[in-house]
Amino acid sequence: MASHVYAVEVEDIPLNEVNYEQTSSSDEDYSHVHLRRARTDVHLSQRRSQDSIRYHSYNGREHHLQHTLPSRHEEIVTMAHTSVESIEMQFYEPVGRRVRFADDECRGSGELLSTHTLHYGSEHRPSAWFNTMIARRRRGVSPNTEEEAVDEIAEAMVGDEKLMSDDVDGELKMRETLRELTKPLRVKKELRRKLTARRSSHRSAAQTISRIKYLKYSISMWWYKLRQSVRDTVHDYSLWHKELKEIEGTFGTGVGSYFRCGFLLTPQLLAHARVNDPPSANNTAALVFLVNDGSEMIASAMRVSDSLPNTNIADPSLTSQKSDADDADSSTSYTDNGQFGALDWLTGAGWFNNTELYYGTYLNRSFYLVTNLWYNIPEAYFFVILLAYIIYFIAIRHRVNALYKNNYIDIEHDVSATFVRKVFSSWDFSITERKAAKLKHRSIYNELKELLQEFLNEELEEDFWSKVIGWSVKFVFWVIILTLLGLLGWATYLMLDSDINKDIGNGFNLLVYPLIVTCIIMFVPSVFGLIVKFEGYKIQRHRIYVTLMRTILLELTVLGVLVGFWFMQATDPVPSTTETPVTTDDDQYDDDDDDDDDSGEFISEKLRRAAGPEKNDDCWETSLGQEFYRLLIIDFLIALVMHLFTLMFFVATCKNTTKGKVHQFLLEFDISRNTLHLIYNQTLLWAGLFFCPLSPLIVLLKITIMFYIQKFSVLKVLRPDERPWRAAQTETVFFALTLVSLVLAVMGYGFILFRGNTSSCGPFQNHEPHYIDFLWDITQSNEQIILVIISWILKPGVVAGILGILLILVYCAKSMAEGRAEMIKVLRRQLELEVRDRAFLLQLTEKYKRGEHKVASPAQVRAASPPPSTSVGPHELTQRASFVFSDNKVHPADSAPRPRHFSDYSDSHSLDRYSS
Amino acid sequence: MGNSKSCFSEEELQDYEDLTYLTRKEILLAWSRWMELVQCQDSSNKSARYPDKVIHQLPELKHNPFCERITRVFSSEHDSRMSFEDFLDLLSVMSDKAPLQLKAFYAFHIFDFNEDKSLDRDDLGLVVDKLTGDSGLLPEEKEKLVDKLLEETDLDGGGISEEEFKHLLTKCPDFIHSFRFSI
Repeated sequence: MASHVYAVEVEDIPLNEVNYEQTSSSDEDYSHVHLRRARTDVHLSQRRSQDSIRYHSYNGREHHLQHTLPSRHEEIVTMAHTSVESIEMQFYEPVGRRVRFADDECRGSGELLSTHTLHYGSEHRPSAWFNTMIARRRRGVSPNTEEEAVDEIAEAMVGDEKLMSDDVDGELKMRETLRELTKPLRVKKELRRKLTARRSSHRSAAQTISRIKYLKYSISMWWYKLRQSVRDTVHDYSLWHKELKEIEGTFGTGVGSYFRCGFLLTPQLLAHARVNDPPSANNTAALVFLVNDGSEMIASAMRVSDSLPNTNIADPSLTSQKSDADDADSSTSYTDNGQFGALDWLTGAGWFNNTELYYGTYLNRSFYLVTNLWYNIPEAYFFVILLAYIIYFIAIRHRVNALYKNNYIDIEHDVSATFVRKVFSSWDFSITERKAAKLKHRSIYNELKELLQEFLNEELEEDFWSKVIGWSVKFVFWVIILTLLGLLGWATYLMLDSDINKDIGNGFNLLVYPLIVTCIIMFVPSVFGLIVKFEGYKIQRHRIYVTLMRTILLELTVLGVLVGFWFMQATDPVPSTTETPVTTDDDQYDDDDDDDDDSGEFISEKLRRAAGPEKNDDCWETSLGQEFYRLLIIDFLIALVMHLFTLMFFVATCKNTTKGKVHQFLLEFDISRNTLHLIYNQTLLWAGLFFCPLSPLIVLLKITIMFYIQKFSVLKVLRPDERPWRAAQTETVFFALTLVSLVLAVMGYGFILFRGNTSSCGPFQNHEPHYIDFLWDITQSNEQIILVIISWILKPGVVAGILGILLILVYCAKSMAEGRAEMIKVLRRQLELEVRDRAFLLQLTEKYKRGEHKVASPAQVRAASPPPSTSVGPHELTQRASFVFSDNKVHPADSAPRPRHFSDYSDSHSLDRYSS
Repeated sequence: MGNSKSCFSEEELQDYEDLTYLTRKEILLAWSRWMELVQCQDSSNKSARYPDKVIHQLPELKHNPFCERITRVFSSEHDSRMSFEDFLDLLSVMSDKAPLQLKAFYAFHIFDFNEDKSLDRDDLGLVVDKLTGDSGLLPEEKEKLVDKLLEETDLDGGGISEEEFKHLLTKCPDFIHSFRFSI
C-alpha cells in the first residue's frame, strides 16, 4: 500500500536523463534511496495536485494517509539498523541544515540547492540542470574546490537542453538562470565564460543550420537587446530618481512610496509600463492630458478625438465665429471680455471665461476639416471625456485589483503570520540617515510592543456588556460625525446660495466659498483624527481606516453639494432661452434635494431667497467649472501657506525645543493626511473634468510644483511619522478610495447627462431637453436599429440570461477559490506530517548512533530484512529501497510474514518518551 | 564619473550587465561610488578586497543594524572583506528588479547569525535586538516574541529553515519593498 504511494511520487521527479545515465554508473543503486529523500524537501512543491488529492484528499483519504505513516516508519527502521551511518549521510547531507558539515560543502551544495528548492505558488519549476545537480548531491558527489563547483554547474547546465537551445529563448533563460544563481560574481563570470565557449563550439559544430535561421536568431537577439537598452535608459533617467532616493534615504520607503505614487508623472508611463511602478492616478491624469493634447495632432484623421477645436486647427472662420458668439454670450459676465484682470488667476473668471478652460466655450458646431472629413465638436467633446474616464477607470481598477490580490487575498489564508511580517520585513534597507534609523528603531520597538500587548489582550475574553458599551460608543460617534457632515453640507449650500444672490461685481466674493471649503477639507480630517482616539478602536489600522472613511465622506459631501447646487440651478424648468433668471421657481427643491438630513429648514430658506435678485449667469456649467478651478487654485495656495507656516514655526521653535501637541502635529509628516490631500485633488479633477476640460493640465502643474515644495519641507524641516506605515495594505485602501470617488463622479455625470436640461452654452446647447440627446442625432439615420437593439437588450429574458451567466461565473470563481484554500490546507497538513516524520527519524538516528536504543529483538529484525550474513552492503539496502519504490511488484522480502515492527517500535518509542 | 567608463572594457561591462540586475549606468555609478568609498586611485584592480570597516562607510550600510552580516554574506571569500564585484552583487540583490526568491535567500543568510542554516531562537533574538536598537525589549518580552514567531512559522521545532523562510516571505508583501536600496 505504502509502496504504491511513493512510487507515484518518485515518478514525478523530472530528472535530466542524460546526465543521470552518465554519472550514475558506480552508485546507481543508491539513487533510489536518495530519491526517496528528495520527496520531503524538494519535490513536495512539484507534486501534481491530483496525486496529492488522490492520496491525501479530504473525503476519508486522510485516514488512509495516516495509516500509511506507520508502515513507512517500519521501512525506515529496518533500513536504519542495516546501516545507520549511510542512511544518516543520505538523509542529511543534501539538506545540510541540521547536521553541521564541513564549511566548503555547505557552501558548495547547500547554497546552490536551496536557491531553487521551493517555489511555492510560482509557476516556475526547478529546471533540468538543477535536478541534475540535486541528483549528483544525493549520490554524494560534491565538489571540493571552487573550480570543481563551477565545472559541475557548467556541466549540468550544458546538459540542459532548454538553457542551451540555440535561440533567443535559450539565451534569455541562460541569462536569467545566471542572474538568479546565488554565487559570487566572480564565479558567475567564470561560469558564463565556460558556457559561452561551449555554446559557440556547439554552434560551430552545427554550422550547417540554415542562414535564415541564423538571421532570424540575430534579428530577434538584436531586437531584444534594443528593447532592453531602451528600458534601461528609461529606468536610468526616470523622473526624479535622485530626489526619490534622497527622500527614501531620510524617510524610508513609506514616504518614498507616497512620493512615488503621488507624483510620478508623464513620460514614464508612456515610455514604459513597468509593472513595479504603480501607474498612479496622477500618471493617468498626465496621460489623459496627453491624450487630449496629442489628439489635436491627429484630429484631422480622427473624427472622434479633439476637445480643443480652435487652438491649432487652421480654421480662421471658426475662430472668428466663435469669438463672435462669445461676445454675444458673455455680455452677462461681470468683467469685460478681452481684459485680463489680476484677480482672474485666482477666480478663474473674467478673461478665462472665454478660454478653452471651460465647458461653455465649446461650440455646438460641426465643420469640415478637410473635404469629406466631418468634425463634430459635441461628439468629440463627449467621446474624449468618455475616453478619459475609461482610461482612468481601467488604470485604477487594474491597480486596485493587483494590490488587493497581492496584499489581501493571498495573505488572508494565513492570518497567523503577523509577527513574521513585523520582524522580517520591518527594517527598511534604504535608510541612510542616522536620525531616520533611530526613528525606525523606535517605531519597530513600539509596534512590536503593541502587538505583544494585543496578543495578551486577546487572551482576555471581553464580557458582553463592555462589548455593548464599546459598540454604542462607536455608534454615537458615527451619528455625531454624520450630523456634523450634514450640517457642513447645509452650511456650504447656504454659502453658495448667498454667493449667487450677491452682487458679484467684486471678485473677492467669489473666493470666499472656495477658501472656506478648502479650510474645511484641510483641517476637519485632523479633528476626525483626534476624535477617533476617543472611540476605543484597539487596532491602529482600524483607526486609520475609520478616519479615512470619514474624510472621504466629508469630501464627497462638499463636492456633492457643489455640483448638486449648480445642477439644481440648471434644472429649473424655465423655458426661456437666452437670459435665464434661474432661481425663480420654488417647488423644484423638493425632488432635487441631494443633501441628507436637513431639507426642511433649507427649503424654507430657499423660499425666502427665491424672491431675491436674479442670477445673471446663464451658463451654469461654466460657473461650476469656475468653482472647480477656484477650488484647485485655492487649495494650492493654502497648501503653500501651510508649508510656509510650518517653516516659520520650525524656525521659531528651533531654539527652544518644546514638544507640544501642536509641534508634533505640524512638524510630523503624516502620510495619510498628505495622501488624502492628493486623493482630494484627484476627486476634484474627476468631478470637474466635464466642466473644466483643461483641469488635468492645472492639476499636473500644481502637483509638479507641490512635489518640489513637499520634498524641500520633508527633507529640511519635517520628521517622519513615528507610527508605522504599512505601505502595502494601506496603499490598497487608498487606491480603492480613489476608485470609489471616480465611480461616484461618473455616476453623477451619468445622472446629469441623462436627466439634466441643457443650458444655452457649450457643445450640447441645441440638444433639448437632455444632454444625452445629441447621441440620438448621431444615430438619427439608423435610429430604428438602435431602438431595436436596446429594446432587445432590455428584454427580461436577456437580462435574466446575463444575470444567470454572471451568477454562474461568480459561483465558479468562488468554488475555485475554496478549492484552492482547501488544497492549501491539505498541503499544510501534509507538510506538518512530513516534518513530524523527519523530526522523529532524526531522533531515532541520533539514538542509534549513540547506541542508546535497543532494537526490540534480533529475530524481528531478521524477519524484516534479509539476515545480514556478511556486512550489510548497499545491496540489501537497495533491495529494500527498490521494494519501496517499484510499483506494485511484490518483493521476495515482502512475502515473508509481515513484521510487527511498528507496534514494537511505537511501544518502545512511547516508553522512551515517558521515561525521558 | 566622466572617466569612469574608461575603467571598464566593453566586455567587462557587458558581463556585469548580464550577470546582475543593474543597468549600465548603475554599474558605472556604482564604480564611482566604490572609488569614493575605498579612496584608492588604482582603478585597474577590481578584485582588490577591502575590509568591512571601509565598506560600512557607505551611507546605505552605515546605519543598517545588519551591516556586519551583510558584508559577511556578500563577501565572496566569507571573510567580511569585499571586492567591487561583491559590491555589485550586493547592489544587484538590493535592486528593484531582483526576484523575491533571490532576496529571500540573502535575507535568510543575513538573519542567520550563527550560520547554522536555520533561524533558531538565538538568531531570532538577535534579529529582534538589532531591530529595536538601543531601546531593546525586556528579556521576557523578547522571549515571548520569539516564542510567538516560532509558533507561527516553525513546524518542526528546530528553527526556521531556509525553505520555510522563503515561503513565509511570499506572504509578506512588504518585504520586497523594504529589502531594497539603490545608489
